[in-house]
Amino acid sequence: MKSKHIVATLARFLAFVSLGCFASASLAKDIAAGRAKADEVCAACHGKDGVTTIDPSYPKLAGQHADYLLVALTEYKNGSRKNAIMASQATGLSKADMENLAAYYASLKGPMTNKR
Amino acid sequence: MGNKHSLSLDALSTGSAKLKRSVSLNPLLGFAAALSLAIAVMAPVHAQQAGAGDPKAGADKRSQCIGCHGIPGYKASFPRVYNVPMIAGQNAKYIEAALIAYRKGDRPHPTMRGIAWSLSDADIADLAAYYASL
Repeated sequence: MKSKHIVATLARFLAFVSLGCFASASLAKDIAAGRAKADEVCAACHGKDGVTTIDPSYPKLAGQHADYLLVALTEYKNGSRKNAIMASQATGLSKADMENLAAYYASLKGPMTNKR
Repeated sequence: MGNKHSLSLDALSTGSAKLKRSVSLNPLLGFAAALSLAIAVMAPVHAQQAGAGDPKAGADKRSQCIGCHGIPGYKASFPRVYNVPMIAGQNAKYIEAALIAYRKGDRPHPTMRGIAWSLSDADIADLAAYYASL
């Protein structure tokens, strides 16, 4: 009786963990669609390579973490990050667009590191 | 107490107007705010130079940064879980703009707002110059 309960708990735990893995794997989105959107919307300021920005106060994006880029875009869109230019750019992006863009820029080779 | 605490954390991440209100609610947060203010007032006493930052001076000021940004794979855990951005090699002017935005409250991340509050303009310029030079 008790062991049955343990097995059931274990099964539930494993189901939960595998669901979690699936959910995080689904962050890997459509990189080709991200590239198309990036060329259309982002490249003019952030550079076609995501490194050669037209102004030094704009960030390099190439190689940056996808989940961070998604948070940043989401915050620009919902207004919790205040920046006039990025607010107007992000307004036109859907959640899928932002996920694709984040995946695309993260996939590029970039100069940023964790050097301290 | 638990309720008050979570209300204060919420206020921290949603805006300075709410923050002001929550200060009167929670003595602990009031103390933290007073301490931050004291640090912010004292910080400009450090040599304040106009123009570009000094990467060498920035290297001496990076102790607050390395615990998160210097660890590969380190994730912010509050209010959301995600990889903290890599900042070494980023544009200096952008790092400066980002830190000033956190200090002003134009970006929501509570930890970064707290850290940016403690930095003078010169600290920010020096740190930006240091990280851009890596």
